[in-house]
Amino acid sequence: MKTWKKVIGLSTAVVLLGALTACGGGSKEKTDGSSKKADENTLMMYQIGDKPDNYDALMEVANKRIEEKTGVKLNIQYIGWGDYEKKMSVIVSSGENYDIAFADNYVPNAQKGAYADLTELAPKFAKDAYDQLDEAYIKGNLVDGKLYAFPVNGNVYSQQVLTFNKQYLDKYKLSIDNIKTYKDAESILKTFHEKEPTIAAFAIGQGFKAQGDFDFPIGNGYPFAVDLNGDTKKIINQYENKDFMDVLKTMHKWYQAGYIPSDASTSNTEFPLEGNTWFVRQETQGPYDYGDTILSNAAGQELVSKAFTTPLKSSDQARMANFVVSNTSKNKEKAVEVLGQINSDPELLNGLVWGIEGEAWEKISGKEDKIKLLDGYKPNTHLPAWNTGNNKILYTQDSITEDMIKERDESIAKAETSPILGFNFVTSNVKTEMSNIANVMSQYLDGLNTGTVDPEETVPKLKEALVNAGYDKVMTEMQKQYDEFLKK
Amino acid sequence: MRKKPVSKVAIRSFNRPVNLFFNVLIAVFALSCVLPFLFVVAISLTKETALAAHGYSFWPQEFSFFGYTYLFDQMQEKIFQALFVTVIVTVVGTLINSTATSLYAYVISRSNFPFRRFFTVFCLITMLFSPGMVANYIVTANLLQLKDTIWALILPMAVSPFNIIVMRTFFKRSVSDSIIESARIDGASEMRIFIQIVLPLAVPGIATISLFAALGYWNDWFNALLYIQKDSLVPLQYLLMKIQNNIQYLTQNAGASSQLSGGMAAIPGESARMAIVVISTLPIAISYPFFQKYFVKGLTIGGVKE
Repeated sequence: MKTWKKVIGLSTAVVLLGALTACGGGSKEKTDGSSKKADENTLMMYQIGDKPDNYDALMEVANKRIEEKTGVKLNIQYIGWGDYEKKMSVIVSSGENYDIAFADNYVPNAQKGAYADLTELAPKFAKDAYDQLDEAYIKGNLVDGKLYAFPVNGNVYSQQVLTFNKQYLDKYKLSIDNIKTYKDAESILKTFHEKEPTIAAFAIGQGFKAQGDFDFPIGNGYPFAVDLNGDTKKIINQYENKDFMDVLKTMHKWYQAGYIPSDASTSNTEFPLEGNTWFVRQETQGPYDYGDTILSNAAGQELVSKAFTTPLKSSDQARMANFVVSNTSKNKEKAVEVLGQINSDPELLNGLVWGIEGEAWEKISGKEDKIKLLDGYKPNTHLPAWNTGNNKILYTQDSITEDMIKERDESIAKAETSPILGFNFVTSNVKTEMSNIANVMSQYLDGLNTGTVDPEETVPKLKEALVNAGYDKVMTEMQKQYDEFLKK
Repeated sequence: MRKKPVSKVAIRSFNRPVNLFFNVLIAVFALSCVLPFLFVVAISLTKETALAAHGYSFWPQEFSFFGYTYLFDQMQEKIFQALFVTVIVTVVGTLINSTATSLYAYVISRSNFPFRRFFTVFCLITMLFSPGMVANYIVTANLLQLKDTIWALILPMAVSPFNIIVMRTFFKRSVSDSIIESARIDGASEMRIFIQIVLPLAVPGIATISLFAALGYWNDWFNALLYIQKDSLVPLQYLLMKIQNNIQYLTQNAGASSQLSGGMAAIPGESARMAIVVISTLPIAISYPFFQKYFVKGLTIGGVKE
């Protein structure tokens, strides 16, 4: 018994000691070596997403280029998609020192003073890139008249589309030519559901929002909207709008007919693009998707889409991928310079977004800005285009023709601008009411939008609950702020 | 009236219908604890396409070990690295935690320790009032510079005030002053008294708080979320949370998914995720029975009056 105890005691001590020395050694090395140098000429950048598998190789090429022009290096720290919000809010409120970050909760944080004011810095230190931005980007990102973000020039407008699985369309010889609204899709959903009852005809789940020609001052989870086809100077409740009511009725009809999965309001099941578990889904598309090209590439099979809303330059689109410079950064000017370079230097950006030249892609000789993908191009060995840099200077694959590029630029010029672009609702006077409304909405949103409940019965209930939650007060406040915004 | 003979057994037990009722009740409760886990195991063994077509069921419609083979082929490195980190953190953390906790508790349980009051209140305050996440973050990341080291996973949970209070009561109840006194008379030093007299008497209590600590360390993912950037230091539970959070993000932002999926690494399917749950729960579930005999004794003793 005694020796047994001694053995335990001794081994405990050994394990502890071992752990102490091993880990202590590791961390010491780190603080001595890299971080001191890091402060001087490496910028820290927080980015959302998964770290690419070949991060070191990618950044080695990129940093060479960045260092040449600006004299500093970039160190990108990745935080997972789902964790980004939690972690960034702690980092921001703790006042930790970083240089650049993918913006999270942009407007509130900008108002709090967490981000550096770029109104003057951006045109000065990142002139080229700044000049290429669509006007909507600047307008959509102004907070109290100041610019705090450097947005990625990409899908400045977006529209909602119904995307169809081409193989099923071909198989059952279905035509989608006449589809312009949800309702038009009904007949082919019916045919498909009869042929393949086990496959989700309209593949939606929790979090799905039925869409119409609306824009939302505080996100489409709240009952505040501007009807783009109606009086755009008025904020309305979209659940009181006749068109939207029709959409909800259609959803309910589809739900009852079985086109929508019966557990849609609670289900988190995803329907992978590349799979055959779905027939129709709802997607968002913008100019840099080149029609269905990007979507089909991601799916690895042919998909075709039909748009059912007007293309709209909205605040949401303008803030899609914002990069901010921290107010705690010691190198604000350098940070802006680096952002400017990423957004204006084709060689640098393409090396990041397409992967390493010669390994993942090569230029097609004789053609300008056209590339061919090589075997080295794999899903996780490059950065996504939408949250990295200026899409305009990206090289394109040969499948994207000059006509498509011309069409892209024309469509951007033609797209409508949302009347509420750049409008930020300040909630400080109505905080309690807002959280009450949020509670009410979380109760009704999924049921109504997925068609699980009958809108004719439920919408009046929703309205009543909203009134009890203080809806009118928020509405008056919002309309007041909106009127002021329109006057400017 | 004739008196019924009463045996000792009859006094100490319920009558038959009550007994039956409680047995059924407890059985239902026990079943409801085990079923979800059986469910998880069943899903991890179901073919992915069968899940999409038929939904969940307790008996897999179509068997498949794909979830597990996927883990061992695709994520092998990550999983084993994460398992290794979790084991190290749990072992080292539990040792540190139980040592610190019992030392602190022993001192404040001794009536002749002058600052007993102060240290008890000090400990109680930290238990009752939480400083919040941001304050914790500032101390751990900025003040102590523990970010991206394994210590960030261990030290924030190294002392638990609640366990200190439990242990203090335990020492008070199970180690009488007279035994310490007699040891003192025999010439033992304070350290010797603690190690050779008090500790052996307190084994059930220490086993209990060690189990609490071990479970805490094993299940912790939040510290990793806050402090860990390096892939090599990600513990198993956080790996799971990360995958789960990513999926949730994707489904909630369904509209943007086409733009996101370009940069999204392939997400393991339902069955693979459930396989991770099985792998991450199994070791601690297996180790539970070994603690149990101490556990029952240790927990009750804290609440019994002499």
